[in-house]
Parts: sequence; C-alpha cells; structure tokens
Amino acid sequence: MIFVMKNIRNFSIIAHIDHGKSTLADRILEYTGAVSDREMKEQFLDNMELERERGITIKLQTSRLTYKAKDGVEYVLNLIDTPGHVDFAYEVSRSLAACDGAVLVVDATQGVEAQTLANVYLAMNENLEILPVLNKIDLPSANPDEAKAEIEDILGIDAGGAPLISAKEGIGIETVLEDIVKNIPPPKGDREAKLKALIFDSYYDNYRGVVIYARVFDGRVKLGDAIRLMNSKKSYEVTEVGVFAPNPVRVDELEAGEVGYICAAIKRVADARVGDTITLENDPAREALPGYKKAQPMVFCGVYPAEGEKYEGVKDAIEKLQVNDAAFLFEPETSTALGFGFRCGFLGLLHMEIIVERLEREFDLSVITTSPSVIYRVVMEDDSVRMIQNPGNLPDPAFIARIEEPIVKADVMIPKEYVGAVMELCRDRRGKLLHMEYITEIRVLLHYELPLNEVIYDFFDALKSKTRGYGSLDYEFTRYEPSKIVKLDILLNKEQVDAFSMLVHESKAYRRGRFVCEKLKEIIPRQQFEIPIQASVGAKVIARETVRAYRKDVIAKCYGGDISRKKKLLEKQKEGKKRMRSFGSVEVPQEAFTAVLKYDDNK
Amino acid sequence: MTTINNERNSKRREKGSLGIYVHLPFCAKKCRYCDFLSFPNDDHEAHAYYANQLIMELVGKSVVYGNDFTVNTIFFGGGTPSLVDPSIIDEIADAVYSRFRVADDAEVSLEVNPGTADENKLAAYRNAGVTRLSIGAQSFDSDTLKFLGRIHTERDTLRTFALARDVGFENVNIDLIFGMPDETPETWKRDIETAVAMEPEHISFYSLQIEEGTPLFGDMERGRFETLSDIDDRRMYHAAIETLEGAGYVHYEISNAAKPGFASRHNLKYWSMEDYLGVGLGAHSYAGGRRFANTDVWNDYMGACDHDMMTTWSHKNSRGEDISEYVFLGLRKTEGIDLEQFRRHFGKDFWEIYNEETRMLMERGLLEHSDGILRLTRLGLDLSNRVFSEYV
Repeated sequence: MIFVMKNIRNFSIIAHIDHGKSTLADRILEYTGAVSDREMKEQFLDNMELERERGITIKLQTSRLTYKAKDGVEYVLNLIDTPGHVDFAYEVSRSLAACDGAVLVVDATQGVEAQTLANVYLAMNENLEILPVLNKIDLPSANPDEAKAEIEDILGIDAGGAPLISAKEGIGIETVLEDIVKNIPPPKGDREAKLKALIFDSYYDNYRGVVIYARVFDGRVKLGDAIRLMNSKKSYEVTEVGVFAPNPVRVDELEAGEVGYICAAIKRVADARVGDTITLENDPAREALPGYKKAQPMVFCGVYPAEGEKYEGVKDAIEKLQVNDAAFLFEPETSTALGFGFRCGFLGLLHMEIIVERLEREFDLSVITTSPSVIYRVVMEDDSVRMIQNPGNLPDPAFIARIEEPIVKADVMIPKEYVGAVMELCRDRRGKLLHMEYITEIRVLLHYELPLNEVIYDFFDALKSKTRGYGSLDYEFTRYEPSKIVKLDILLNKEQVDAFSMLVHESKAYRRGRFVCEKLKEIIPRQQFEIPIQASVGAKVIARETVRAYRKDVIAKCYGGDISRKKKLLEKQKEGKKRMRSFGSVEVPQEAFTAVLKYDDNK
Repeated sequence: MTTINNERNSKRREKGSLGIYVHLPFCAKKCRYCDFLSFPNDDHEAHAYYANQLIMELVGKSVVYGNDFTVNTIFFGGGTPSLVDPSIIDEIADAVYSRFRVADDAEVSLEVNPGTADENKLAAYRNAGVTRLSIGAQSFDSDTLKFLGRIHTERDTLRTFALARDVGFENVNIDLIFGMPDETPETWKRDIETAVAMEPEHISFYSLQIEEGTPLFGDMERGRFETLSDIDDRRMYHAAIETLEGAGYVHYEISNAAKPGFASRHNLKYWSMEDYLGVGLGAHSYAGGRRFANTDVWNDYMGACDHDMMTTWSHKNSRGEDISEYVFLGLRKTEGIDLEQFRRHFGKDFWEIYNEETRMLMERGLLEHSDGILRLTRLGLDLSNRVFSEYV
C-alpha cells in the first residue's frame, strides 16, 4: 500500500439511538467523495431495509475513505460502523477494538443518554481517543452548552472544542474530519511482526463465502496465505483481500494499521467469530488479541411454520440467516401444539424480533413464535445442573432442589421527574435498586439489578411509555440467583397447549395467567362448543375464562338468486378459518401466539 | 327428518327448463330491516317507464335463451310488486309468454304486501296468469310490525289472504320473520299458529338478520335494543318446525315449509343449480353455466340500449365452482344431496373431493349421511354457514 501508517485514521462513530450517527456517517461519505450524490441513498451505512425502518444499525458497514486535509496531506480514514443496540454490546466492543478513536455524537437537544454512556465506557475500555461532537444544532431546542456540560460532568471528557454540527443540514462536517485527522492517533503496529488481525465483523457472500472484516494490528496478509483463526483453531487459505471504498475493491495486501476484508472460502459466519484473531498458519503469533468471547444467546423462543407454511422453507431460511449471524442459534424442536419447528437463541429481544421480521419479510414466510424465555439454571436434588430455556423441558419439580435465574445489571437514565414512575416499574419487575446517581441537576441514573426474564418481555416499551420516550436503558448479564420460578401452563378445553407454557416468577404467575386467559378469550372466536381456558401451575388452576359456544350461524334468506353475495360471506368465513390452528377440537387464530406476548400494563 | 317427495319438486332436471325472476324495486316505504335493492316510489309513470325497459331486456334475453329453454317458473319479486299497477304485471307476463316458450303448468309467483292489496288487484293478477301469491305477513303482532317498519297491520294480512282465496288463488305463501329483540316464544308461537290456522300452502319463516346499513342496524349500534340471544332464536326456529310439521307441512329448506306438492319450484331452482334468468334492476342470473348480474344503478339500467349493456358482471363457473355451489346450495334443502346423483351429474365421486371436510362435519354432528344421502342435522340447520363454508 502506498499509504504510510501515520496517515491512517481508524475510527468509529458512537451515539445513542437517534442522535444522528448514521446521518453523520452519510455526510462524511459524501464529503470525502466515497459515495456520489447519485449513489447516495439516505443513510448509506444502514443498508438493510429493516435497519432503516427502525433507525438502528444491526449489521456493520465499514468504509475506507480518503480525505485531503488542510495540512495538504491525504489521509486514509477507515470508518468502522458499530451496531446500535444493547443486544449487541459485544459486537460493538469488537468494532471499537479495531479503532484508535471514536467520534461521540451527542444530540444537542437531548444531551447524554444511557447508551451514550454505555458506548463511551466501551470505547474507554479500548483506550480510544474520544472526540465529542454536538449534533442537531440547527434545531431551535438545541442547547449545546448544557450538552457540553453534561459530557464533561458525566463522561469526564473535555468538550470545550467539540464541533457544533448538523449532520442533517451538512453543517460542520469538515471540522469533524479535521478533528479526526488531528486528534485521533495513527495506528501503531509492526508490519514485520507476526500477523495479528482482529475480526470485527463478517457476512456471508454466495460467491466468496464468508467475507471477514478485519483490522490488521501486526504483520501482513495477502492472497494465497495459509491463515489460522486462533480461537476457533481452524485454518484456511486466503482467496481474496481488499478494502471497502465503500464497495469492495481488491488489494494485493493488507498490512499493520489497515482495515479491510479477507475471504478464505469459509462456509459459515459462525466459523469466523467476531473477536477472533487471524494469524499465519506457518508463522503464527504467540498469543491472540484479547477480548474474545463466544456468542452467548440470552433469549430463546420456539419458531414454527404457520399454517400452510412448509417446515423445509422455514429451515432453509433459518439456515441462511444463521450463516450470516453468529449470535443466532437454532436447533430442531417439536411441539405437540405447533408441530415441527425450531428452538432459537438470540442475544436479546430486539435481536429476536429482527430475525423473525427478516424471516417474514426477506423470505416471505409466516411463522409463529412462542413466548420468549431466558436460560434457567436448574439444580437437581442430586446436585447435577441443567440449563433449561424451554418450559417443556423443565424436570419434574419433585427432583428439583432450586431454580436460578439470570440477573442483569441495568442502567436506566431518565429525567428526574420520572424517577417515581420508573422505580415503580422496576419494583414491579422485581428490580433491586443498587444506587441512584444525580448525574446533572435534572438527569438521574438508576443502577438496578433486574431478573432478565422481566426485561425481555416488554420492559423497554414500558420504560419508554412511562418516560414519554426519554428513558434509556443499558444492561448486561451479571450472575445467576436462586428464584421461585414456576411453570405456567395454559389449557384449552382441558388440554394443555405446550406452545403457551412459560416459566415465570411465582409472584407473577397469577397475573400473567389471568392476562393470557383474558387475551385468549378475546381472540379465540366462539365455536361449536363451550371452550374453557385455564391457566395452571402444577395441578392448580389459577385463572379461568370461557369462550361461549355459538348457537346460530345461518343465512336465513337466499334472495332472488343472488348467490355471489352469500358465497363471498362464506368465503370470508373460510379464509378466517385458514388462519387458525386446531388444538383438538379448538381452533385458535394465529395472532393468539403473539398477542399473549404483548403484555399490557394497564390490564 | 322428513324428505320431500312430490314429483314436481323432484330433482329431475328438465332439460332446458328455465325460471325467470322479475325484479320490481319499488315500495311504498322502506322497511327498517330491508337491505334489498328497493326504494320508495309510487309514481305510476316511473313504474311504466321501468317496465318498458325491463320488457326490452326480456326481449333481448329471449333472443339469446328463448330457443334453448322452456320457462316453467316466473317470479315477480321486489321491492313490492303489488305496489305497481296490475296492468304492468300483465304487460311483463305477456312479454314472457310471447317471447319464450312457457310450460302449461308454469308456476307464476308474485309477492304481495298486505298494505297494498285489494280485491281488484288480486283478481287482475290472477287474470294476468299469476298462480301463486306470496304474502309478506312477517308478523301478526302490531308492535312487531311497527318495529320492523311494515306499512300494514295484521288485519290487512288476514284480509289479503281471504281475498286471495276469494279470487281463486290455490297456492299462497305466508312470509314470517322471527327473532325480533322483544319477541318471546309465546308471541312467536302465536304468529306461527295464526299462519298455520289460515292454512296457506306454503310458509316461509326467516330468522331476522340485522344487516349493516339498515335503520335497524343503526339502532342496534346505538344500543336502542338488545338483540335476541342465539339460544332463544334457535328455540323459536325449532318450535316453528315442530308446529309446521305437526300441521302437515314439509320443512324442505332451511327457512321454508310447504304442503306436499307446494314447495316453491322457482326458489328450488336456486338451490338445485337449475337455470334462471333475472330481469330488472340488479337482478341475478344463472344460465348456460354462467352467473351474471345486472347493474343495480338506476340510471345505468334505464340508460342501457340493450340487455348486454345492463350486465355489470358475468362469470363462467368452473367445474369446481359448479361442484362447490351444488353442494352448499343443495344442502340448504332438507332432503340433502343425493351422492349418486352427484356422481352422475359431475362424473366424480363426492368422497374423492370432499372426504376430509365432510367427515369432520359429520364428526361434529353437523351433517349426517345415510343411504347415499347427505344432509344437515338439526344442529347443522343452526350452524349451516359453518357447513357451507367448508365447501366454498
């Protein structure tokens, strides 16, 4: 490569959701000419339809840009994008590890929020130079001075010289670029040392196999090299190296300090796990780069083909998604109610929702998901331990000594007027307040310990609604803790429907059981027979509703030979039935499965 | 369950027999439950103007269908056919007789609203060739009649019926509606018994359907009344069947009963997939394997230059559609469908097509099968839509 290391800058942009990270990335790409106006799709980096809709980045998009600075030198800027949600904290940390600095975007109308904090901590852990930038200064409600004060008070970062920008309006972009060139250190490393390259992302390409995004710390890698992944201990031969500009461009070699891609005929993304270290097979580095973690799904649920959908079709789609997503696990599972399907593991609830939505949108499949579950640690009377995430697999309570549930450390940041409401919410979710911090006069950071199973249902939605959208949340797993977990079963017409079973805390069983029964009563249409709906824990029925039988369903008059109108009515009725699942003699609309997951606090 | 056993109503499909439905959309006042295509208009000029257009349509259709068919039923429906002057009925009947071959024993029905009938009119219908009157009694309870928005009293009904007999009608139907919000099994029993005591040849008994868009529907939405429970509705329905059968009527279709030999041959065509032509505003036809319908827009109908221009949709039934309609319409008849006849008709075994659905419906007690006949059970009569929707 013609660029020397001192003219390279490797950086990320970090921000709270909606603070303008993607917009800033777009403007930088435009400004440096990497993407022409014509090519410019709004927010180029968020290139998945779903990501754009939700305004969050799930898969990384990384770009190599060239920028001629005011000092007359042409710099290579490697912009490394990071995913933007708590479910992907590990992935964020690896992307940051590939950088030497980070641009911290803070919305001048909102100030510092929980994820700002979480991301800054991740960046600090990687010893990155952090450059604060105040965005949205064009808005009348912008208060850059207060935002600056928050950055200094809360984060301890000097924000005195922070550029004031509007990514949307394209104001101050050059200042940011100059700031990057001047204040982010060039990469360190030795091109003559043994190869050490960090995998910070990868995706599957039909023609090239897995395309690895890597930052080379030491040494060099080129076409034909035999490489080894130090953690997974697998070896491959390099078939292509290149950089993203932002479209892939082949290069001869990647060397210390550079960021680019490597292909090596790898079949599955899971084989090139984020955080792993690439070295040369024949001349390996002595030790891997630090920070590697195995993908650890935290939330599980069953995914089943909906009525009329083929098992094989769902299987193909799930396999294709998994090829591209190391954090998404699945295995076949059978439900008496739903037939053949899959037990799937996700990093968090958002990750789960994204996968399910992708199955539906990208693969045009209709699937049913069962109640999400965390992994419980079940200690048996004989001291053996079983990790259970599927309610159906819970052993006979008679042989269980205790059940432990995962606890997370959750940081909730809110304006102070919502403290009461949020504390009530957390108390209701069995949270333990560790301490409360006034980080500014008006902003409070609540440190909680919460059972993960209370967080995965709808905690985030509830938090948003109780704080009018101002609350933000960040959480990470801390430990397992003994808990009174019971299995809540739902019976339709006296028959247990396994797909509705869930593991819940004893104190929640009654309320949840009643909620599910009421919801099912609303959704299950009247049928030929009366249908009792019961919620039970063990043999004890704790809630009950009844769907009354219909007694009459007739078109009394077929008038004047107008068959078409009656036929339409009957066809509509038949259509409705198609979307039903039969459990014995009871027909349950498909919506029922998702409806019982939407827990409504007002109920 | 009783089956119907007279040869006039038998399943024999006379090759080339045709029914003609004549729609007369005028009424004195729209009833509160009515969602049929009708509107208040008692202007004789308008009636005559419409009849001209309808006769033009008849002539046009006779060119297409006249040669292949013999007309054996004619049905004047509405609206209120008895609102228009009998001379208009006569003209239309004339047009049918002059343009089509009409069987000697043709059934010619006409709907009569008791509030619009007098002796002269009824006699004139008889002279025009009408053989069967269908009297829209609906109820013999004055409060109920008011609730329904009928223009007549129970005494009008009794008088009309007596006049019909006086002028010589030997085939008369009484239409009844049950299942009104305030109705009790007692008031309904009185209605059905009153009707039976009059000894008409035919009684229709419809469960009230509150259709969207009707004034009654609006009142229901506004909570002005509580609808009758399904359980009470069904009690009344079955009580009616019991009374009717006890009085010698054959319950031959979900909502219809007749003295032997007096089932409505015209209406049976609808349920037996026989050919019929509908003429007039918004009228529906099934002929030559095709279902088609006229426009229901007055100006479009009146402005059409020929009968083709009146057609707003037309659909050639596929074989599958014919089969499905044959089954779900045929099951409306209490005699059910004869599976051997089905096989002869379609060249296919019924069970090959509908095994799964039919077994399920039998298991649920909605259908019964014996001696090659498939029919609705007593429960099936109450839940017939559940049955039919399996076959569409």
